[in-house]
Amino acid sequence: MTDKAVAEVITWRLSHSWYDGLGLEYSGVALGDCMEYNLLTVLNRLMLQYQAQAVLKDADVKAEAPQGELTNA
Amino acid sequence: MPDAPRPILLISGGHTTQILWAPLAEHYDLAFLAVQAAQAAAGQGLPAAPISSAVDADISEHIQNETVMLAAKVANNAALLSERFGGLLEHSGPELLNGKLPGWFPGFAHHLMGAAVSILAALDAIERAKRQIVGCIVHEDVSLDTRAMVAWCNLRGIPTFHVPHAPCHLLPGVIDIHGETRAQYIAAGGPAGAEFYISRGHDPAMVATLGVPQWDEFYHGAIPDPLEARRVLKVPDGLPVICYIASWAQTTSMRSGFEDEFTEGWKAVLAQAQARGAFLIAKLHPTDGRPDESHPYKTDMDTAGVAGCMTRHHFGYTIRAADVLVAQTPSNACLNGAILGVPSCYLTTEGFDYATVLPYRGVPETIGEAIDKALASRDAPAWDEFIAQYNAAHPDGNAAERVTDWIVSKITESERADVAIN
Repeated sequence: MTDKAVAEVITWRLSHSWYDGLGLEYSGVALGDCMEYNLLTVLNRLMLQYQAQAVLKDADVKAEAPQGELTNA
Repeated sequence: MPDAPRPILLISGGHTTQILWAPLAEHYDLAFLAVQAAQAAAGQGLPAAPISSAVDADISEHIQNETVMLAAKVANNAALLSERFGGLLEHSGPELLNGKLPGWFPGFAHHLMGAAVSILAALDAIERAKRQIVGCIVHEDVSLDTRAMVAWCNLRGIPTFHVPHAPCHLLPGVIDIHGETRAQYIAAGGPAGAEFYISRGHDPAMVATLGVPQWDEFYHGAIPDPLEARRVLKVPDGLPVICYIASWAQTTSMRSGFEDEFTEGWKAVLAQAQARGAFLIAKLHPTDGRPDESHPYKTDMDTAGVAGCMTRHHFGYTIRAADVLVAQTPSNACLNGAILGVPSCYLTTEGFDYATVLPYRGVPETIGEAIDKALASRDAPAWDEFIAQYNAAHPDGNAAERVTDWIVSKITESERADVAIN
């Protein structure tokens, strides 16, 4: 999953749908929509940390691979 | 018979709209989201108060009770929410979004909903007090408090106005949080800004191209002349001056890798200063939340034997002292520099750019060529064309007057429509 794909998922789908049907309103205002920026900030950090860990894990696997396999790859 | 109370205009606060406060206060009482902004406006003798001043002890208790009940709805739907978040990521991704969401999300939601409810309850209280709210101005409405205020007004047919805080660097069609405004009207700085908002689906009839109010100071403000700026910043006589406009990785950015990119950019600019024997000013971004001590700029200059300084403040001085600006990314500073006659170039970055030929672009390996081109372009008419694309008030510098007149006229139109309906 690329950075951009991650961003598209979390930004333009999740933030507008997670609160549907839960009745999270006050004075007519959808509170889930108000939380969008804060939620994006948290989601971005979580997804980017996840990606970074995946990259490190992948690097570990390659480092442990026999030289021949690396060359072939 | 006592005078009827004046109508109220809601304002987010912040430097973007500050120049509008006094002219708007001729028509309205000002109610600010930001307490500090209300204090600053009141300190100028303007009729201003924080929105939160409408909250008394009873309302405060009501806010707490309502927020607890709302948070209970989140907690009671934890399984559903877990499925929504996990399903969206196809049940992969970080555990905190995929299986462990109930462990943190209800508390997170409680905290944020409480903040939103506090604002909404205060607006309800103002409405109950029979004070007429006639309009709402925000410099952004992606953050929680401004979005809540705009949504509350939109539901009641109160005109809402977005006066953008970041007029630069957004190309038409780019998906970016800066395009996510819920305000009814948008005061675009220039044609490029208007095109960006329209490309994001905003009704062209609701987008006015007026200029950037917070830049009026670069036309009429107390900006130092180059000699004074160099004297204050202790630039040795005869040295060329490069001003590096630093940036910061925003937490809503669409990608990672900013830190490495910025380090490479800075190292390239430092090398240019070293090779040219230039004085180097590292200008920190004003809203970069990291402490000054955490930045390597001055230490790196000392190690490289480059004369220079680092500052978060004194913006007018840093620009006026410079022969050329080198921005780490597309930056409002390039426009401010152009207004003040200082050419610029910048290091390109994915997802952000100008819609114009200028400023000159470079990557770490080619930024020296961009600096040379910028230095040779000083006073070229093309810089005026660049500014005009982003600030329709150029060269008069009267954006505040234009924006104020537009807001007042739209509010008047809205009031007339209300009278006609009633």
